[in-house]
Amino acid sequence: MPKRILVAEDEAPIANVVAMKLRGAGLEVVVARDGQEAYEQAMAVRPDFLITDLQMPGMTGLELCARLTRELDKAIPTILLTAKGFELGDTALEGLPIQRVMTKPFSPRELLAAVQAALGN
Amino acid sequence: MDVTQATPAATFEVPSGLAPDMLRRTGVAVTFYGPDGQAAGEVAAQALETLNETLRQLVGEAFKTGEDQVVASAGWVRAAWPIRVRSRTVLVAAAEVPVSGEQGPDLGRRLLAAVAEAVRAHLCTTEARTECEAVSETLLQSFEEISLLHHLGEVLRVSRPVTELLKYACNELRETVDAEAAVAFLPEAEEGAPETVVAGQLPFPAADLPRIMMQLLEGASGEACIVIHNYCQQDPALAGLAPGMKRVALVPIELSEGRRGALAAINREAEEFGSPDAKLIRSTSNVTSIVIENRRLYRELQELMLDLVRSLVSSIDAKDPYTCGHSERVAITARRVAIQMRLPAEQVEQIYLAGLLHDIGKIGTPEQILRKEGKLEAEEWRIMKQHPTVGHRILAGIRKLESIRDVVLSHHERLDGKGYPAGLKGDEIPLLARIVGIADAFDAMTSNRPYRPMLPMEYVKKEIERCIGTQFDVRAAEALLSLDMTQLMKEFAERPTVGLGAG
Repeated sequence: MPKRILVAEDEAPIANVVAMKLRGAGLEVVVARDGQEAYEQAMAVRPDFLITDLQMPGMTGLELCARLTRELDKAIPTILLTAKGFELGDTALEGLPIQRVMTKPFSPRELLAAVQAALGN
Repeated sequence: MDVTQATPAATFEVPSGLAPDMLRRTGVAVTFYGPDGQAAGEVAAQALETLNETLRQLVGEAFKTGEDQVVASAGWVRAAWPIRVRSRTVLVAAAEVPVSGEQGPDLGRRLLAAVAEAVRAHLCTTEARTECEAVSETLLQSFEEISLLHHLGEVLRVSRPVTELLKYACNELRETVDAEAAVAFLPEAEEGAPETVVAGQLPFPAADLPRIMMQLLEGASGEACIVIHNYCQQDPALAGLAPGMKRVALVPIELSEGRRGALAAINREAEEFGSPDAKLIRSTSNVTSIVIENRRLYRELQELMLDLVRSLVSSIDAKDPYTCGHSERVAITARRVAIQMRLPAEQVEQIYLAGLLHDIGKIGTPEQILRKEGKLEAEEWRIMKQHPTVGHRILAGIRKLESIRDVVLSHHERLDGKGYPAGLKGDEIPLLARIVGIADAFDAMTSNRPYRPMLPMEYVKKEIERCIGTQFDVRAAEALLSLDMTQLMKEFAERPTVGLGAG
């Protein structure tokens, strides 16, 4: 069964590009366009992996990740996408299953490689 | 039927499932025809059989006029609708329904009109989705390109040797285009840089690379000048040149005065090299050529400055033939000592300049004092001892030399505080000044002077050792003593004499 990736990203072009790259590699992709939708999708489809933007209307990527980590028995490994120059504090990622922070502009190829490495194939 | 429709549009594909779906939803079989008059896409089985002469004519008419065709006759309503993409008829959808009774034809027309609308809406969505995918695909490439350029930009911020940049660029490029190897080739590289940099695995011996690159570069001329060969082994010339090379994409690196290098990606299993790859290679090549050219210009400026400094320095040497070449020798000795002490490259460069300029203040010292063969009178000494301060003042306002002014000022200070002009002690004296100081003393002792011939090397060594801690810094002295001083003297003797003082 293909691994299921939830992509939470409010910018449509970026969401499309990420989804296209991941689907091209045979992964199943669910796209959510804000934090709340991402939360609901995550509860419904239980993704194997989460790629989330940091800055989203309503709920930030960190809040989303924290909430999912609290409410699900199994932490979803996560890659956080941030805009350049948006520095996270040293403690911002503490206790969260965030495996990597990627700064935009990121390379979709690198993102896919990171996801595949995290999924262990 | 008009078959002259441009071919690209004819590649428009009827989404699979559309025809059966329409049949299921409306009970109407819809058939699609391409400009060649052949049924296109997935066709409901019975539709082919029921295609009659009337329908065939309607389809032809729809292609010709680009307008909807509807005909009701003899118990049937038949229609053909041109499907337009970007103002071009790419397909014609045709359908027919049996009708009866007075209302029949009208009902039939309305049913077919509804079907037409549904078909068009569906195709429109499909087309939008296809376009969206195409945009995403382009965007995906752009993301890679931006990310690559971004990474290269980060590397450029750090001043590193060109080779290192090329290596980084090749690595990034290889990964981004997913090639087996990425190579950079500079036919007339700067000093020290190799002609070729390779990332990944070459399918042929690295020694063949320059020859292969030169050959491929010949094919890269004119504005576009991108070379892509996807089936090298089918080209006899290339096959002979580079066995094992299947695909190659190459872009020239434009250098000054029409010189050209090349950046290339070699071999990729997955797919042919295409224009997105060429674009990535070109972007990398543009950045690379700018950096190489900048480095060259910087080096030229650096050389110009050094030449100017040397020429300035030779004017002091000219005043005092006995110290001819002294500044250059002090600069070289000080640099050797600094390297021996493992000082950072930047300081090594500074100390060379400081060595060259340490006596620049002597420009203000009268020649009769500089050339005096006997002992200097007290007043003459007072004037002589002004040269560090004068030098310090002469170099004021030259930003590039700001960091070495203090070295010029303090090169006659002594660790025990008995030096001049300020009588600084120990660590108060800048390290570089201590190094120039010992290099200066070393050259004075090993040169012929008006009042004495050069001193023997053994004596010089003992003298340096004796003065450690009082006149000389211990680290600088040890570094100097660990050098092969006899060899250094030999090198100086063999050097063409610098400066006007030679005469």
